[in-house]
Amino acid sequence: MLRETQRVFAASVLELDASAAIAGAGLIRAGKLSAVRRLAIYRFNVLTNLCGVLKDIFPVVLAIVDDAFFQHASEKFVRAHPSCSGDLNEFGGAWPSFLAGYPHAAALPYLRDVAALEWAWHEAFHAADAPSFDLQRLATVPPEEHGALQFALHPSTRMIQSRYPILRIWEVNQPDFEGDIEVVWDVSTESLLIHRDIGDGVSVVIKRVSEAGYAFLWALAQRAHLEDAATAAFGIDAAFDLQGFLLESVQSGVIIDFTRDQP
Amino acid sequence: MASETAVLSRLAGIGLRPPHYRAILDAMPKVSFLEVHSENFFGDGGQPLKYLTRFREDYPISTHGVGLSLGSTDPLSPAHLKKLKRLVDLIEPILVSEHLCWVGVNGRFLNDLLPLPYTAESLDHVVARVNEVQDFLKRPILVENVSSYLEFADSTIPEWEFVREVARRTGCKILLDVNNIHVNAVNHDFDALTYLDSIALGSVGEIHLGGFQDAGDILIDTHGTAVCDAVWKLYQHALQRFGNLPTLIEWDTDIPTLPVLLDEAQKANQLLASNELRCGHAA
Repeated sequence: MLRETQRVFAASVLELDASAAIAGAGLIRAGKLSAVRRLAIYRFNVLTNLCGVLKDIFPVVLAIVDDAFFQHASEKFVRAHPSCSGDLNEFGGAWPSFLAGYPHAAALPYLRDVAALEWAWHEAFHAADAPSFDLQRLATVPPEEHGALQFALHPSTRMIQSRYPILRIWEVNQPDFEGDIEVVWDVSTESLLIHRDIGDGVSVVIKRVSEAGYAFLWALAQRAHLEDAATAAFGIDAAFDLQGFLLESVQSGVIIDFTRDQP
Repeated sequence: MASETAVLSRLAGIGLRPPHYRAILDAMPKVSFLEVHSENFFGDGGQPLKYLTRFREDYPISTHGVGLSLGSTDPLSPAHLKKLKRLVDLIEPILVSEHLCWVGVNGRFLNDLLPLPYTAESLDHVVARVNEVQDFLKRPILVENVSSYLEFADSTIPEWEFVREVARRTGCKILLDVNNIHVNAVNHDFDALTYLDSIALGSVGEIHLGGFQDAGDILIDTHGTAVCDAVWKLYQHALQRFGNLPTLIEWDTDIPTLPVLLDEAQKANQLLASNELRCGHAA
């Protein structure tokens, strides 16, 4: 009985279909307000709240479109991809792919990648803390064994490639951005690395890396051995500065640990 | 515990929200505790937990859940419970509370505090769920009465009896939201004093005060304004009936500057002080 009440009520609030809305009204004592009006209050609260969550996680998408567009899209989204957790920080992961298929966003082909960047930022912000790399421990490994090492990336590390200049789009849409808002639409692939800053441990950093560097880190993230990750990078750019990039990745806190296969 | 609660009951606490983090660290205002929404600290690490552990050094923390869905007929989420326990173990809150409501069903969450039909079936269900949570956390929780904009046709038990019975049968304390009682009294046409006077002495562990919005034909619980006079009067009545209790000012939307929030807390402090005088030191 209780389960049926909850099922009908939830479907009614979300207006999952026309008959669902009517069925919900039958559960409710009307009184001085109609059952339909009472359901509408819950519908408004639910949609406003979830839309607000998306606005908080995706402020750049909101700045690119406008409030009415965002509101409309988010209502469609809530019904197509319902929240599946009581923790709202988990809500919105499907928003980028939803935007990719949202007809009214067809004129904004970069919107999905911008949203993916914002979701990556959100995930990086809440990711686990981790100790920084122990260089002294690495010094105990003979150089000839380095190629067989596997490296671990910081839990906040996220990687995105796009055909659009999404970092520039992200930057000019920040509230504190000053200066020329022109975006140059070059067509080369943009490879982005998102992670938390090693200094304060909490700020999220987004930076461009070379395609070779991206391939290198991507391979490390899949637990490839150092020599295989290097091969992937050299396959893209024969002049890839392996040592320099590796050092920078350690110093910036992206690479945090290593393991070696036991012979 | 008794003496800790007495200290907490001398001054009001405030809801801790990100726009005030900096101002609170700078001013270190005299509030007896800070209350957070538990789920905002369910992440694995990063800034939210860093701030919370920093605040924990100077203030008792109360964790207040909005997403556990105590009243849902879906099984309790093991992942949600584990994250709650992780937070409780880390922060060691003075109070751990949830809402007497459901927030989703069939794996689909509306993430709103949805009312229950007040029936014998619902009561048995909620009692079992509160017990499950208390067993899992290995500590008692508080359960808060929610605002509602409808009553279910099949409800057979007055809300105040339902709340009272949940506490009696589980040993949980009631987080009495006096604003929610006022909102529901107006929306559902009952006497708020009847509600307060039906709640058993000794069963309330905390009081919430907040603001609502008058939509003309119904009151909506927004936590977006100052506490209204009628709610302050109910609060006084509650203090006279239950004695001084940890009291929280909640302000979650249209969040004002910290001094405005602290002014509200100061009003509660005055009522707590005069109630203590009235009761003498017997309490």
